[in-house]
This record gives sequence, C-alpha cells and structure tokens, in this order.
Amino acid sequence: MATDASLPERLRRWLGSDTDATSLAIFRLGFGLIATFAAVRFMALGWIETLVAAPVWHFVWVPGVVEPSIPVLYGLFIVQALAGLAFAAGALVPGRHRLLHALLGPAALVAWLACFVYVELIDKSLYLNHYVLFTVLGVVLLASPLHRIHLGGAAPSWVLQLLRAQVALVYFWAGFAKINADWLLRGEPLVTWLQALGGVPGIGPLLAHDALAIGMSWGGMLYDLFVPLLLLWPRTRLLGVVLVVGFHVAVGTLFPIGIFPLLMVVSATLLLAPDWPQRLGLRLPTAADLRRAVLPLPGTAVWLVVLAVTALFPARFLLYGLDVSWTERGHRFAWRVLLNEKTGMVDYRVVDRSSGKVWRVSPASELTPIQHEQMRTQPDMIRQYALHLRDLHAAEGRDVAVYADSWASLNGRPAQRFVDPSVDLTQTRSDLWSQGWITPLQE
Amino acid sequence: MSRAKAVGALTIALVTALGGCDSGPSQTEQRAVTVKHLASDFALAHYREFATRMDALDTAVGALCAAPDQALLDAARDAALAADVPWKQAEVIQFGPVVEYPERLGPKIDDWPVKTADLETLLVSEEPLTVESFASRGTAVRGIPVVEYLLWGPSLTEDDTLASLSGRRCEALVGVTGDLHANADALVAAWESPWVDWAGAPSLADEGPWDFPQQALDEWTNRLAFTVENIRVEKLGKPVGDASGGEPQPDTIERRYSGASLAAAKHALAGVEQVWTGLDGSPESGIRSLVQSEALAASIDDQLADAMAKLDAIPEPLESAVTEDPGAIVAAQDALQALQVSIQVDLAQDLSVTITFNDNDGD
Repeated sequence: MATDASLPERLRRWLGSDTDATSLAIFRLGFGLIATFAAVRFMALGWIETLVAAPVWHFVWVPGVVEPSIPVLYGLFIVQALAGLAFAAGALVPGRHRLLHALLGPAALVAWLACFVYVELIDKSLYLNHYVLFTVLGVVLLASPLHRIHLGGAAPSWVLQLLRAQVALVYFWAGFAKINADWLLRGEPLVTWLQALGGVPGIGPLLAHDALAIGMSWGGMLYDLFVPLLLLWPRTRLLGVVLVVGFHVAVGTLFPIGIFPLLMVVSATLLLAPDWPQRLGLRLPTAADLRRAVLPLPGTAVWLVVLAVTALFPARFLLYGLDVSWTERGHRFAWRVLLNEKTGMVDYRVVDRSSGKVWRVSPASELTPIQHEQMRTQPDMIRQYALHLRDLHAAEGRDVAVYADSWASLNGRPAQRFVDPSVDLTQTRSDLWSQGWITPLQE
Repeated sequence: MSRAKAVGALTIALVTALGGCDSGPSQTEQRAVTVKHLASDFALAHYREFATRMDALDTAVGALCAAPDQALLDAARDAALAADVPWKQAEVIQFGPVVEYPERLGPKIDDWPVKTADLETLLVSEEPLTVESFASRGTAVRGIPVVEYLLWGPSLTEDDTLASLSGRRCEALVGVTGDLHANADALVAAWESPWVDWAGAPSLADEGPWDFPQQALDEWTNRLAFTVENIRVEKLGKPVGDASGGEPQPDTIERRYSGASLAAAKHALAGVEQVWTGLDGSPESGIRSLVQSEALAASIDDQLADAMAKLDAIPEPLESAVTEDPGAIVAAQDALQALQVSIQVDLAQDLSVTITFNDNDGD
C-alpha cells in the first residue's frame, strides 16, 4: 500500500510515524549535561567577570541588550546549569508523568534557552559556532513533543530527522567551506597552528611538519563531508563512530575549543540507529508501541521550510562573493569552523567635522583583550566600534567622522590594508558596501 | 601540562609513521636557545644593571640630603636618569615578577604620572617617611615618578628644587629611593630564582607559566608589539591629545619633570630593538634570528630605524612639542604604527605565534 503512495504522501508518513526514542533520549541526556557542564565551567573559569562583566562597552547583537549585574549574570548561569540537569533528567522519566515532563521538558528548555541566548546576545566577541548549534538544537527540541523523548518512549520521526539534518548540515557546510586553495593546497591554517606546537616535547617537530598539516587538512575536509553518511549507513557506522571519537578527541586535545568536541560527539549519536544502545547490548527499555501516522500537511510544510532555511542559510555568502574568509560577510551562522588564521590591527582616526582636528583612538584602551582580538579582523565589529566612537563624541557635542587604519593577515599572507582608510565608517552600511569599504584580498 | 602529555599519546602513531622528518628539531632548538638568551642576557642582565644603578642613586640621594648643593643635586639627577635606561629598556618584559603576584613590582617601581596632590599631602603630614613606610604605601606616592618629582620639581625651576630639598622633602626622597632600591633588588632576586629558569628553559616539570620554549617566544613576541603600541599610544598619543579630542594633555607626559619623556620612549624602543636583534656579537639571542623571511626581517630592521629616527626628530621637551610641533609626534606615531603592524601581524605569522583561539573559542 505504501508503495502506491505519492512521494509527498510517503514523506508525510515517514515523518509522522513513530521511531524508537532511545537515541533521542540519550541525546537529550547528553545535551542537558553538556548545558550544565558549560555553565558551571563558564562560572568556574571566571568568564562571567572577564568575558561578560569586564567590558565597559559591548558589541551587542541587538540594540537595547544590556549587561546585567554580576549577581544577575551568576543567576543566569545557575539557571542554565539547573535547567540543563532538569532537561537531562527528563530523559529518564517515563512518559506518564505529564506534569513532571512539562517541568523537565519545555519549562527547563525555555529557561535554558532564554538565559543562554541572552548572554550570547550581550557581545559579539562571545560568538562561537558551536554555541549557535547548541541554540539551534535547543530550539528544535523545544518544538518537539518532549514528553515522548525519554528512555522507553517513542517520538515522531520528524524530530529525529530534523535533528539529524541539523547535525549533518554542520558537517556538510564545514566540509564545503574547506574546499579552497588555502586549506587543501597550502595546508593553512593548520600549518600555522601546528607549528605553534612545534615546541611540545617529543612530538613537537612532527606537529610542525607541513606534510602533516596538509594531510590533516585533506583528512578534515573528507571527514566533514562524509562522516554523516558513514554514521547513517549501517555498514560503515563503526568506522564513522571511530572517526568521530578520534577526530574530536584529537582536535579537542590539540586546540582549546571548549565544549565543541563534546557537543559534536553527542550530536553524532543522532545519526546512528535509533536503538543503537540496545544494539550494543545495553539493557534499556524500548518503545512498546510505534504508531504509524501521517504528519499533517501544515506540519510537513513547516518541517520542509525549516529544513530548507537552515540548509540554505549558510550559503548566503555566495550572494556576496567568494572571499568570505576575508570580508567575513556571511561568515557567521554558516558553520565555517576552524577555517582561518586571521590576525590584524586596527586604529581609528577621528575627525572633528567643524574644526578639522584629527586624533587617533586605539580600541585596546577601552576594549578587553578578547573584544579587541575579535574586532580587529571582523569588519562589522570595526564599524560598530566606529559608531560607538561617533556616539561618544556626539555626547560631548562633537560631530565627527571616523576612519579606520586597519591591517589584517589571512592564513599566513603578509599584512595588508583591511578597511579602506578613506571611508568614513559612520556612514550607513549600504553606503559602505557601495564604496567597497573592505580592501580586496591580495594573494 | 596534561594537554601536552595527551598530545603525545595521541600522536605517537604519527611519530612512528613520519619519524624520519628532521626539519623541525633545528628550528625548535633555535627557539630554545633564543629564549634562554632573552631570559638571562636580556631580562636578568637588565634588571641587575637597574639594581646596580639604583644602588648608585641611593648613594647619591643620601649624599645630596646630607648636604644639599647643586653639584650633588646634579649627581643625583644623573644617577636617576642613568637608572632609567635599563629600566625603560626592560619595559618590554611585561611578564614575570613585574606584573605577577605576589611580587607585582612594576607598579611599585614605576606608576606614572605621579599623583602630586597625594604626595604633597603626605609631605606636609606627620606620617613617617622611612623606607619601610614607603614599602607599605600605594603606588600613587612611591617609585621612580616620585623620585623624579622630588629631584626636578616641584615648580619646574632649578632654584626652587634645590631650596626645597630639606626637611621632610629630603627625608621622603631618601625613603622613596630606598624603597625603590629594595624593589629593584627584589626584582633581581625573583628573576635569579625562579624566573630565569621558567622563562629561559620552560618545562612541563616546573611551575612557570610556559611549558615549552615556543610559549615563551609567544610572550616575547607579543610584548614587542605591546611595547611599540604603548610608546605610540601612552607615551606619545595621550600627551598629544589622542585621548582628549585632540587637546594636548601635558599632565599625562611620562618623566615630565626631568624632561626625559622622549628619552624614556627611546629607551623603551631600544629595548624592543635589543630583543629583536639580539645582543652584540650574539645574534642568536634575538628574535630576528628565528625569522624565516629575510625580507620581513629586513623590513622590521628598517621600520625600527625609522621609528627611532622619527622619535629623534621630535624636538625636546615633549611638553612643548605637543603644542608646537604635533606633526613630528604624529610622524613618529605613524612609524611606530607601521612597526607594530609588522610585529603583530607579519612577525607573529612567521613565528606561528598568533593563535586566535582561546578557551571560549572553538571558531
């Protein structure tokens, strides 16, 4: 009967029918625990003070976002930690406890998402691709029937497939972005990064060898492009798992990249069989009843739209040009991970429009080290700080133009002018782009 | 430490596979040699020289206050200026006991500009002015800027200064100089053990901030850039009005009373040059010897020379130049900016120094 159905019909049945929720529950458990670990780690490392509270001015994502006081910030992170634990615990609670599931599911997830996203919105210098992934996965989970995602439960297939798609898209776009000459032919930025480890006793000289960097570059590109397929295909799953664990342990050991490896390893389990723990021999409850159902048309449409948007959004850089690593236009929210070694320097010249007086401003005087490090290679942050300088002077009754003297280096190239020093950065964004305010990358 | 050990475990198979490669070790060894030189021949040597000159200043101040006259005042001033040379050259060393607790000796030795109001209040009070009393005071009323203020100030005229050096003023001069001398000695002691080993031969086995020479090299290279920026922004920029909407700010001038502001800037740049080129007859003691691109090395040589020439071209004193010849200051800032770009961007790339990750990163 199913074979007679049209493709849309089959899709709706596939998405609407239940699947064993074991892998989803395991993922939920891991997601919650990582959320807790990340929040506790952030507090323990003093990052509330140094990264969030220390700046006297923020590169806010949205106007009006204010930095809470330190006690409130601690409150936000404590909520994240507790919400993470609660959300994880929900994976262990049978589905009949609806009220408990409401608390451990949507309520906990909303609390975590609200606190997590709010903190991220405070400053662009806190941006991390894996924080975006964390958020996206959280939103998908929030849209899911969480009371059905627990050990022994069954959940509609669309949940698992949408989560799988998000994870696979990260790998795909990360791999796609690596198909470029810098990565594949010059081995950059791995050549630079690994040479920095050349002094590690014993293995340092090996790490500093260009051949290793180029080999790892090709391996990384192939890994990103194909590991989702390896994990999805039963015959290659074992190889996929070995690669995922090996890759993330290696990368996490070589480079300080926080919770990224943990999140990716846990997320990768979504691509395995839904009942993979039982297949490994773990005595976990399985779903008693897998219902066959059809996802309603509106739901299917929404599902497809979400999938299409999240799949295509990372490709928006194609509208702007291929030098995205240099201009950073379309770089964020596009899974361009571990791709560039970019260093730079920026100073500003402020010109009083009425007196013609010129003076210089070094952003390092006001910004924290991490803000300064991030802003000097990211044009939108360079402009945002210029607007801040304009506003500061406007408050003192001065009408000023602001110019940037900036240089940057991408993947080992010599330093070159980054922002056109003759362009007043207080102009509108569209005016800036029409003037070609970012100097083209010289090879 | 554990990370590096884990790296070893992880890559052992790769070591086996590519064990024949030999291009790395020589570079690694070269870096280790340079880092060792920088710790002992530059850092420790400069601090020892500073302590020696502080000893001479202590003696000169003692003689001056015993029987103040112009000759002894000149001698004390010369001793103070002489002590400033190794100290300012060592400004590039913004790590170790200069900034690290528990010592954190930098602000105790040189926190400028001097808080004159606080100092004058102290001088007319009945507070003790012994070496011990200064040792427990805040940085606003101790260190080189206070010695400078007492030797050249307070009214910026010669006669007033000599006349002022009696009673509590001289008592304070002796006390603050003794405190400085003690801090200089403490700096040497901290570098003799353990910092010269921590910085010169970084190891997983010690408790220093670096586990291997490359990390210490990172620190030195970053400090080169920061020192150049500090000269450009703090020593020149603030006085010329960069932090005040273009209005010159003489109050922010370092070594304002002694008229040694530009000398201080040049000493700091000379320190950068020494770390870059190495000491006489020992090029391997400089970071230049590690650079792979000879074109880059030559470019930095030229930029250093240009920056020094532009500093030389600023007419003394800086206090007058900020109003009468700001163009000369801006020209020096431009030269220093070009030098900073080369160090911060190109040199860092060449030496694989700049890693844009931090623990909150991950790209």
